[in-house]
Amino acid sequence: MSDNFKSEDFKPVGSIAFFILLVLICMAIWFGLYAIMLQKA
Amino acid sequence: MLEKFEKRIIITAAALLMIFLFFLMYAVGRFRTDLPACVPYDKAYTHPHITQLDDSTYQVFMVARMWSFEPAQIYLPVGSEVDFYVTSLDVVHGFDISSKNINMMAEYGGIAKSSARFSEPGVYTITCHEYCGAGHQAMQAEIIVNYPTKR
Repeated sequence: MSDNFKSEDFKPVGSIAFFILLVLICMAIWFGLYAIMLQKA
Repeated sequence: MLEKFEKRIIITAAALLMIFLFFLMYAVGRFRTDLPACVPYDKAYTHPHITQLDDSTYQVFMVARMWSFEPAQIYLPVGSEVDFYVTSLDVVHGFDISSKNINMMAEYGGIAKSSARFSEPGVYTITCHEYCGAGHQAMQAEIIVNYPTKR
């Protein structure tokens, strides 16, 4: 950790971006499986 | 741009997620897991019955309700191929034939379809594996597969 870093300067940018990415991946998986199930009918 | 420890945590979480997804896809391939089909809803599916299409092909229209399946016992000859259509008259029920890798949900207003071939004689249990109330633990049906009797 750099000497100039202060904990109050921390913003969880990476965590938020990772969370959004996970939500998008889950949506892609869900809609993909849904499309497969509809196509099987 | 990212703080050092945050970057490490994100990389660790992503690596664990990749490992999990790899084993998930491996299990899908290893056990030949298949998805049930979403069939457009029709009220005719709410009448439980069995249809024989030919010597070895059957359609079972299964209706789940609290807390039973109808038909509760299905008799089939060895070697039959069966299409299961399931729906529910009330809450969400599960439809699981574990030895045949059939795993569906019976939902009100929806029809799920899955198929299986019964090449070995025996009794196959259909279990409700979605909690549906006080009688959930006893909600079962049976498929009895045997060689047809010679006449």
